[in-house]
Amino acid sequence: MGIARAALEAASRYASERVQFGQAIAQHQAIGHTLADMQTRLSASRLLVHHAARLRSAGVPCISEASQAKLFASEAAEWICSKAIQIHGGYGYLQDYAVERHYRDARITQIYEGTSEIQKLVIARQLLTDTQDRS
Amino acid sequence: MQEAARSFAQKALAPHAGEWDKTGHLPDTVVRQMGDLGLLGLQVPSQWGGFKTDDLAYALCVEEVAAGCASSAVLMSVHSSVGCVPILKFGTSDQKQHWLPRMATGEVIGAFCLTEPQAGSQADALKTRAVRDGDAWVLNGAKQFVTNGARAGVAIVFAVTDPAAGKRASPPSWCRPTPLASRSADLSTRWASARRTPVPSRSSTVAFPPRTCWARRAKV
Repeated sequence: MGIARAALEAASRYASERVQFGQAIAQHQAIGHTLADMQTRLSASRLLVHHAARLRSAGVPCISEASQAKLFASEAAEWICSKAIQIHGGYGYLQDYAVERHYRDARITQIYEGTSEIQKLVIARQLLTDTQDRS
Repeated sequence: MQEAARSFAQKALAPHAGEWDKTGHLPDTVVRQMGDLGLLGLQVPSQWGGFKTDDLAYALCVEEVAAGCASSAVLMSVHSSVGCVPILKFGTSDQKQHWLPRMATGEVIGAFCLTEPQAGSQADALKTRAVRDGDAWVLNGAKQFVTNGARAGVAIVFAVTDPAAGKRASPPSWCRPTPLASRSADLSTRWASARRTPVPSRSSTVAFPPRTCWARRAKV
Protein backbone atom coordinates (compact mmCIF):
# COMPACT_ATOMS: atom_id res chain seq x y z
CA MET A 1 0.00 0.00 0.00
CA GLY A 2 2.83 2.34 0.87
CA ILE A 3 4.52 1.55 -2.43
CA ALA A 4 1.31 2.23 -4.35
CA ARG A 5 0.75 5.44 -2.43
CA ALA A 6 4.25 6.67 -3.26
CA ALA A 7 3.62 5.89 -6.94
CA LEU A 8 0.25 7.66 -6.91
CA GLU A 9 1.72 10.74 -5.22
CA ALA A 10 4.56 10.86 -7.75
CA ALA A 11 2.14 10.50 -10.66
CA SER A 12 -0.14 13.17 -9.23
CA ARG A 13 2.77 15.59 -8.83
CA TYR A 14 4.12 14.87 -12.30
CA ALA A 15 0.70 15.23 -13.92
CA SER A 16 0.28 18.62 -12.25
CA GLU A 17 3.56 19.89 -13.69
CA ARG A 18 3.82 18.30 -17.12
CA VAL A 19 2.23 20.45 -19.81
CA GLN A 20 1.03 19.05 -23.10
CA PHE A 21 -1.53 20.58 -25.46
CA GLY A 22 -1.53 23.79 -23.49
CA GLN A 23 -2.33 22.54 -20.04
CA ALA A 24 -1.09 20.32 -17.23
CA ILE A 25 -1.85 16.75 -18.22
CA ALA A 26 -3.76 16.29 -14.94
CA GLN A 27 -6.43 18.50 -16.52
CA HIS A 28 -6.89 16.10 -19.41
CA GLN A 29 -9.74 13.74 -18.66
CA ALA A 30 -7.82 10.59 -19.60
CA ILE A 31 -5.20 11.33 -16.96
CA GLY A 32 -7.66 12.66 -14.38
CA HIS A 33 -9.79 9.54 -14.67
CA THR A 34 -6.72 7.34 -14.35
CA LEU A 35 -5.66 9.16 -11.19
CA ALA A 36 -9.20 8.76 -9.83
CA ASP A 37 -9.14 5.02 -10.49
CA MET A 38 -5.73 4.74 -8.81
CA GLN A 39 -6.96 6.61 -5.74
CA THR A 40 -10.10 4.51 -5.49
CA ARG A 41 -8.24 1.21 -5.67
CA LEU A 42 -5.77 2.44 -3.06
CA SER A 43 -8.61 3.42 -0.73
CA ALA A 44 -10.28 0.04 -1.24
CA SER A 45 -6.97 -1.69 -0.42
CA ARG A 46 -6.60 0.38 2.71
CA LEU A 47 -10.08 -0.46 3.98
CA LEU A 48 -9.56 -4.20 3.43
CA VAL A 49 -6.22 -4.12 5.25
CA HIS A 50 -7.48 -2.02 8.14
CA HIS A 51 -10.56 -4.19 8.51
CA ALA A 52 -8.41 -7.31 8.79
CA ALA A 53 -6.09 -5.55 11.25
CA ARG A 54 -9.01 -4.54 13.47
CA LEU A 55 -10.41 -8.08 13.45
CA ARG A 56 -7.04 -9.50 14.40
CA SER A 57 -6.60 -7.03 17.25
CA ALA A 58 -10.08 -7.94 18.48
CA GLY A 59 -9.17 -11.63 18.48
CA VAL A 60 -11.78 -12.41 15.84
CA PRO A 61 -10.84 -15.17 13.35
CA CYS A 62 -9.97 -13.36 10.16
CA ILE A 63 -7.95 -15.58 7.87
CA SER A 64 -10.24 -14.93 4.91
CA GLU A 65 -10.27 -11.17 5.50
CA ALA A 66 -6.48 -11.15 5.80
CA SER A 67 -6.14 -13.15 2.57
CA GLN A 68 -8.58 -10.86 0.77
CA ALA A 69 -6.62 -7.83 1.93
CA LYS A 70 -3.29 -9.28 0.82
CA LEU A 71 -4.67 -10.45 -2.52
CA PHE A 72 -6.42 -7.21 -3.37
CA ALA A 73 -3.80 -4.76 -2.10
CA SER A 74 -0.89 -6.49 -3.84
CA GLU A 75 -2.67 -6.73 -7.21
CA ALA A 76 -3.96 -3.17 -6.87
CA ALA A 77 -0.42 -1.99 -6.11
CA GLU A 78 0.90 -3.44 -9.36
CA TRP A 79 -1.95 -1.85 -11.31
CA ILE A 80 -1.45 1.53 -9.62
CA CYS A 81 2.31 1.51 -10.18
CA SER A 82 1.85 0.54 -13.82
CA LYS A 83 -0.50 3.48 -14.35
CA ALA A 84 1.94 5.74 -12.54
CA ILE A 85 4.62 4.84 -15.08
CA GLN A 86 2.12 5.43 -17.89
CA ILE A 87 1.33 8.90 -16.57
CA HIS A 88 5.04 9.72 -16.51
CA GLY A 89 5.33 8.78 -20.16
CA GLY A 90 8.83 7.97 -21.35
CA TYR A 91 10.37 9.41 -18.22
CA GLY A 92 8.53 6.77 -16.21
CA TYR A 93 10.72 4.08 -17.68
CA LEU A 94 13.99 5.76 -16.68
CA GLN A 95 15.81 4.93 -13.47
CA ASP A 96 16.16 8.65 -12.84
CA TYR A 97 12.55 8.62 -11.71
CA ALA A 98 11.31 6.56 -8.76
CA VAL A 99 8.20 5.09 -10.39
CA GLU A 100 9.93 2.21 -12.16
CA ARG A 101 11.40 1.16 -8.80
CA HIS A 102 7.92 1.34 -7.23
CA TYR A 103 6.64 -0.93 -10.01
CA ARG A 104 9.40 -3.47 -9.37
CA ASP A 105 8.95 -3.21 -5.59
CA ALA A 106 5.22 -3.83 -5.94
CA ARG A 107 5.53 -6.88 -8.17
CA ILE A 108 6.89 -9.28 -5.52
CA THR A 109 4.00 -8.57 -3.17
CA GLN A 110 1.78 -10.91 -5.21
CA ILE A 111 4.25 -13.73 -4.66
CA TYR A 112 5.74 -13.65 -1.18
CA GLU A 113 3.88 -14.36 2.06
CA GLY A 114 1.55 -16.63 0.10
CA THR A 115 1.01 -16.19 -3.63
CA SER A 116 -2.21 -14.68 -4.96
CA GLU A 117 -3.21 -18.20 -6.01
CA ILE A 118 -2.80 -19.50 -2.47
CA GLN A 119 -4.73 -16.53 -1.08
CA LYS A 120 -7.61 -17.41 -3.43
CA LEU A 121 -7.48 -21.00 -2.23
CA VAL A 122 -7.83 -19.80 1.37
CA ILE A 123 -10.66 -17.41 0.55
CA ALA A 124 -12.62 -19.98 -1.43
CA ARG A 125 -12.16 -22.62 1.23
CA GLN A 126 -13.52 -20.30 3.93
CA LEU A 127 -16.42 -19.22 1.74
CA LEU A 128 -17.42 -22.82 1.02
CA THR A 129 -17.09 -23.78 4.69
CA ASP A 130 -19.31 -20.84 5.64
CA THR A 131 -21.81 -21.84 2.96
CA GLN A 132 -21.93 -25.40 4.28
CA ASP A 133 -22.34 -24.19 7.85
CA ARG A 134 -25.25 -22.00 6.88
CA SER A 135 -27.16 -24.78 5.07
CA MET B 1 3.03 6.88 15.84
CA GLN B 2 1.98 7.11 12.20
CA GLU B 3 3.26 10.68 12.02
CA ALA B 4 6.62 9.69 13.46
CA ALA B 5 6.92 6.81 10.99
CA ARG B 6 5.94 9.09 8.11
CA SER B 7 8.42 11.76 9.10
CA PHE B 8 11.20 9.18 9.42
CA ALA B 9 10.35 7.52 6.12
CA GLN B 10 10.16 10.76 4.16
CA LYS B 11 13.33 12.27 5.66
CA ALA B 12 15.63 9.30 6.23
CA LEU B 13 14.44 6.68 3.73
CA ALA B 14 12.86 8.21 0.64
CA PRO B 15 15.84 10.36 -0.42
CA HIS B 16 18.17 7.32 -0.41
CA ALA B 17 15.93 4.45 -1.45
CA GLY B 18 16.89 4.73 -5.11
CA GLU B 19 20.58 4.57 -4.32
CA TRP B 20 20.11 1.57 -2.00
CA ASP B 21 18.12 -0.14 -4.74
CA LYS B 22 20.97 0.36 -7.22
CA THR B 23 23.68 -0.92 -4.86
CA GLY B 24 21.44 -3.65 -3.47
CA HIS B 25 22.47 -2.77 0.06
CA LEU B 26 20.42 -1.48 2.97
CA PRO B 27 22.81 0.19 5.45
CA ASP B 28 22.93 -1.07 9.03
CA THR B 29 22.39 2.51 10.19
CA VAL B 30 18.88 2.41 8.72
CA VAL B 31 18.07 -0.71 10.73
CA ARG B 32 19.42 0.96 13.86
CA GLN B 33 17.34 4.07 13.27
CA MET B 34 14.22 1.98 12.78
CA GLY B 35 15.03 0.12 15.99
CA ASP B 36 15.55 3.36 17.91
CA LEU B 37 12.14 4.59 16.79
CA GLY B 38 10.47 1.39 17.98
CA LEU B 39 9.50 0.40 14.45
CA LEU B 40 10.96 -3.07 14.90
CA GLY B 41 8.99 -3.83 18.07
CA LEU B 42 5.45 -3.18 16.91
CA GLN B 43 4.40 -6.83 17.20
CA VAL B 44 6.07 -7.34 20.60
CA PRO B 45 3.97 -6.50 23.68
CA SER B 46 5.48 -4.24 26.33
CA GLN B 47 5.60 -7.24 28.67
CA TRP B 48 8.43 -8.52 26.44
CA GLY B 49 10.13 -5.18 25.89
CA GLY B 50 8.16 -4.19 22.81
CA PHE B 51 5.89 -1.40 21.67
CA LYS B 52 2.80 -3.17 20.40
CA THR B 53 -0.42 -1.23 20.64
CA ASP B 54 -2.59 -2.91 18.02
CA ASP B 55 -2.45 -4.31 14.50
CA LEU B 56 -3.92 -1.20 12.91
CA ALA B 57 -1.02 0.89 14.25
CA TYR B 58 1.36 -1.71 12.86
CA ALA B 59 -0.33 -1.63 9.45
CA LEU B 60 -0.19 2.17 9.39
CA CYS B 61 3.51 2.21 10.25
CA VAL B 62 4.42 -0.45 7.69
CA GLU B 63 2.58 1.60 5.06
CA GLU B 64 4.51 4.74 6.00
CA VAL B 65 7.86 2.97 5.88
CA ALA B 66 6.97 1.32 2.56
CA ALA B 67 6.11 4.70 1.07
CA GLY B 68 9.69 5.73 1.83
CA CYS B 69 11.57 2.53 1.06
CA ALA B 70 9.97 -0.80 0.15
CA SER B 71 13.02 -2.80 1.20
CA SER B 72 12.98 -1.28 4.69
CA ALA B 73 9.29 -2.17 4.97
CA VAL B 74 9.95 -5.77 3.96
CA LEU B 75 12.72 -6.02 6.56
CA MET B 76 10.39 -4.55 9.19
CA SER B 77 7.37 -6.71 8.39
CA VAL B 78 9.23 -10.02 8.02
CA HIS B 79 11.16 -9.35 11.24
CA SER B 80 7.94 -8.50 13.09
CA SER B 81 5.25 -10.76 11.66
CA VAL B 82 7.20 -13.98 11.05
CA GLY B 83 10.24 -13.33 13.23
CA CYS B 84 8.83 -11.98 16.48
CA VAL B 85 5.28 -13.37 16.37
CA PRO B 86 6.18 -17.10 16.15
CA ILE B 87 8.41 -16.71 19.20
CA LEU B 88 5.66 -14.84 20.99
CA LYS B 89 3.05 -17.45 20.14
CA PHE B 90 5.06 -20.65 20.45
CA GLY B 91 8.22 -19.94 22.40
CA THR B 92 8.89 -20.91 26.00
CA SER B 93 9.10 -18.15 28.60
CA ASP B 94 12.88 -18.45 28.55
CA GLN B 95 13.02 -18.13 24.78
CA LYS B 96 10.69 -15.13 24.80
CA GLN B 97 12.80 -13.48 27.47
CA HIS B 98 15.98 -14.32 25.60
CA TRP B 99 14.93 -13.06 22.17
CA LEU B 100 11.99 -10.68 22.21
CA PRO B 101 13.41 -7.68 24.05
CA ARG B 102 16.42 -7.61 21.75
CA MET B 103 14.28 -8.11 18.67
CA ALA B 104 11.98 -5.29 19.74
CA THR B 105 14.86 -2.84 19.69
CA GLY B 106 16.33 -4.23 16.50
CA GLU B 107 19.48 -5.44 18.20
CA VAL B 108 18.58 -8.86 16.84
CA ILE B 109 16.79 -9.17 13.51
CA GLY B 110 14.53 -12.13 12.76
CA ALA B 111 14.28 -14.29 9.64
CA PHE B 112 11.90 -17.03 8.48
CA CYS B 113 13.07 -20.23 6.78
CA LEU B 114 10.21 -22.24 5.28
CA THR B 115 10.63 -22.21 1.51
CA GLU B 116 13.05 -24.64 -0.13
CA PRO B 117 14.13 -24.95 -3.76
CA GLN B 118 11.48 -27.65 -4.35
CA ALA B 119 8.91 -26.39 -1.84
CA GLY B 120 7.26 -23.01 -2.38
CA SER B 121 3.48 -22.90 -2.40
CA GLN B 122 3.62 -26.61 -1.65
CA ALA B 123 5.03 -26.02 1.79
CA ASP B 124 4.52 -29.63 2.85
CA ALA B 125 7.16 -30.77 0.34
CA LEU B 126 9.88 -29.82 2.80
CA LYS B 127 13.01 -31.96 2.81
CA THR B 128 14.96 -30.34 5.62
CA ARG B 129 15.23 -32.99 8.29
CA ALA B 130 15.43 -32.59 12.03
CA VAL B 131 16.83 -35.50 13.99
CA ARG B 132 17.35 -35.78 17.71
CA ASP B 133 20.94 -36.57 18.61
CA GLY B 134 21.30 -36.99 22.32
CA ASP B 135 20.65 -33.60 23.78
CA ALA B 136 20.68 -31.75 20.49
CA TRP B 137 18.55 -31.36 17.39
CA VAL B 138 20.44 -31.74 14.15
CA LEU B 139 18.96 -29.92 11.18
CA ASN B 140 20.01 -30.81 7.66
CA GLY B 141 18.71 -29.14 4.56
CA ALA B 142 18.58 -26.18 2.26
CA LYS B 143 16.31 -23.16 2.39
CA GLN B 144 15.50 -20.57 -0.27
CA PHE B 145 14.51 -16.89 -0.31
CA VAL B 146 15.36 -16.05 3.28
CA THR B 147 14.58 -12.37 3.71
CA ASN B 148 16.91 -10.75 6.29
CA GLY B 149 19.07 -13.86 5.94
CA ALA B 150 22.35 -11.98 5.89
CA ARG B 151 21.66 -9.84 8.94
CA ALA B 152 19.42 -12.05 11.07
CA GLY B 153 20.47 -13.04 14.58
CA VAL B 154 17.63 -15.55 14.90
CA ALA B 155 15.68 -17.58 12.39
CA ILE B 156 12.50 -19.61 12.55
CA VAL B 157 13.29 -22.81 10.64
CA PHE B 158 10.83 -25.46 9.48
CA ALA B 159 11.96 -29.08 9.25
CA VAL B 160 10.50 -32.56 9.12
CA THR B 161 10.89 -34.78 12.16
CA ASP B 162 8.84 -37.73 10.96
CA PRO B 163 8.72 -38.28 7.18
CA ALA B 164 6.56 -41.38 7.65
CA ALA B 165 3.80 -39.23 9.13
CA GLY B 166 3.18 -37.75 5.69
CA LYS B 167 1.22 -34.62 4.91
CA ARG B 168 -1.10 -34.74 7.89
CA ALA B 169 1.60 -34.04 10.42
CA SER B 170 2.95 -30.64 9.52
CA PRO B 171 6.59 -30.03 10.24
CA PRO B 172 7.55 -28.35 13.46
CA SER B 173 9.62 -25.24 13.54
CA TRP B 174 12.78 -24.31 15.29
CA CYS B 175 13.96 -21.08 16.69
CA ARG B 176 17.65 -21.12 16.02
CA PRO B 177 20.43 -18.66 16.44
CA THR B 178 22.30 -17.67 13.34
CA PRO B 179 24.67 -17.13 11.59
CA LEU B 180 23.06 -19.48 9.16
CA ALA B 181 25.71 -21.97 8.13
CA SER B 182 25.71 -20.94 4.52
CA ARG B 183 27.39 -19.16 1.76
CA SER B 184 25.26 -16.22 0.83
CA ALA B 185 24.86 -15.25 -2.78
CA ASP B 186 23.51 -11.86 -3.66
CA LEU B 187 20.55 -12.04 -5.93
CA SER B 188 20.40 -9.59 -8.77
CA THR B 189 18.70 -6.33 -7.96
CA ARG B 190 15.84 -7.36 -10.19
CA TRP B 191 14.41 -8.32 -6.83
CA ALA B 192 13.98 -4.69 -5.95
CA SER B 193 12.93 -5.46 -2.40
CA ALA B 194 15.21 -6.31 0.47
CA ARG B 195 18.02 -8.46 -0.72
CA ARG B 196 17.19 -12.07 -0.46
CA THR B 197 19.97 -14.28 0.66
CA PRO B 198 19.42 -17.84 -0.42
CA VAL B 199 20.54 -20.25 2.23
CA PRO B 200 22.66 -22.80 0.38
CA SER B 201 21.52 -24.93 -2.46
CA ARG B 202 23.69 -27.60 -0.98
CA SER B 203 22.72 -29.32 2.24
CA SER B 204 24.30 -28.18 5.39
CA THR B 205 24.11 -29.86 8.74
CA VAL B 206 23.81 -27.77 11.83
CA ALA B 207 23.35 -29.03 15.36
CA PHE B 208 21.49 -27.09 18.04
CA PRO B 209 21.22 -27.86 21.71
CA PRO B 210 17.59 -28.10 22.78
CA ARG B 211 17.64 -24.98 24.92
CA THR B 212 17.97 -22.88 21.78
CA CYS B 213 15.15 -24.67 20.02
CA TRP B 214 11.66 -25.73 20.40
CA ALA B 215 9.75 -28.18 18.26
CA ARG B 216 6.06 -27.70 17.83
CA ARG B 217 3.70 -29.41 15.48
CA ALA B 218 1.98 -26.85 13.31
CA LYS B 219 -1.76 -27.30 12.93
CA VAL B 220 -2.81 -28.37 9.46
